[in-house]
Amino acid sequence: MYDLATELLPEFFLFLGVDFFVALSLLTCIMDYFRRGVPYLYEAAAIFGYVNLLMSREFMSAWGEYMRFSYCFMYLALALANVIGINAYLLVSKNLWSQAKVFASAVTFPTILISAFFFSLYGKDASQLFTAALLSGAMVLGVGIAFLVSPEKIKKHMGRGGE
Amino acid sequence: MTHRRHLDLLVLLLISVFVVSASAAVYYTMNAQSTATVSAAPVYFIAGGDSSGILDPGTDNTYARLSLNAYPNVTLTYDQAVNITATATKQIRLSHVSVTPNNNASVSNFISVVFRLINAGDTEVGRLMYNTTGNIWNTPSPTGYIMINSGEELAVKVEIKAAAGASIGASTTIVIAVDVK
Repeated sequence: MYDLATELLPEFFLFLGVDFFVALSLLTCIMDYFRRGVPYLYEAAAIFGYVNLLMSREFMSAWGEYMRFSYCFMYLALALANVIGINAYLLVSKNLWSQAKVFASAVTFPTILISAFFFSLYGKDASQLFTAALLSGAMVLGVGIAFLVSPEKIKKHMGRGGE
Repeated sequence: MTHRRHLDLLVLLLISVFVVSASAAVYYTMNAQSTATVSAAPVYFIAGGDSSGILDPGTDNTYARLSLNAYPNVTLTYDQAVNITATATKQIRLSHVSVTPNNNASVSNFISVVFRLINAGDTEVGRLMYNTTGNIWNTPSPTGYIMINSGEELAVKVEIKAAAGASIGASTTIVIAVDVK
């Protein structure tokens, strides 16, 4: 069995989430399909993650590892939901199939793979796996609900707009 | 891209560099923090059946000093020189630390010193064997790791043999460690 030289802290997922939000901010700024405020919104989300990281450091000993893992993973799940959301937006709303495919292979898939890799290194017991599954499930549900209540244009694209 | 978008990108890039590097620095400082809490050692020494008069237990029973005899041309055996016990299931092994004096004429007064780990079923589960070649002590490799359950006792059996015609008063000091994982 191989051990990492330094064990991952739960806050690593927070750090990963901050990086994903920063990347999203820059990507949405470069791409012309988004409103001007969107990149700033993602930058704000990244700063929020940074503040969380600071708070986590201050209250590290007071909060148990499970709680730290839960909110850190929730933040990462939120970042991943946004990556997937941007991909879906390009695909469904903007009808940009080729761009969506490039985005999926260059951004969405690697971010999911990186997250899964680090989670596999960190995940030690069943409660963490259960929490991760629960949060990922909630994230998928959230994205699904977002599509259900999404603007008319997307519904139309999905074949229900005329009803 | 418009001029305004260029400006946006520059601003976002600057903020991004700050946020990412600051986050990395915070994470690094968290990683560097460590908490050490003192607790009772899960593996410790206790007196065995033959410990009387030879065992000097250290504070908290995490150290044991044995003052053993050796007779010329005869093997002296201490079946339970000291025992090792645990409060949780652990793996232990015996390993060599030092032997003094070495590469010295007094070494030839000894033939061998053997430390055996004996379980409750009277079976040897590990052995650390020191023997001499002229003035040199041949030091042993560590034993393999042995499982010790909570409450279980392993006896350390010691066999010492001095050489025929050994000088009275010759002594040797062997330091061994009990590695726990």
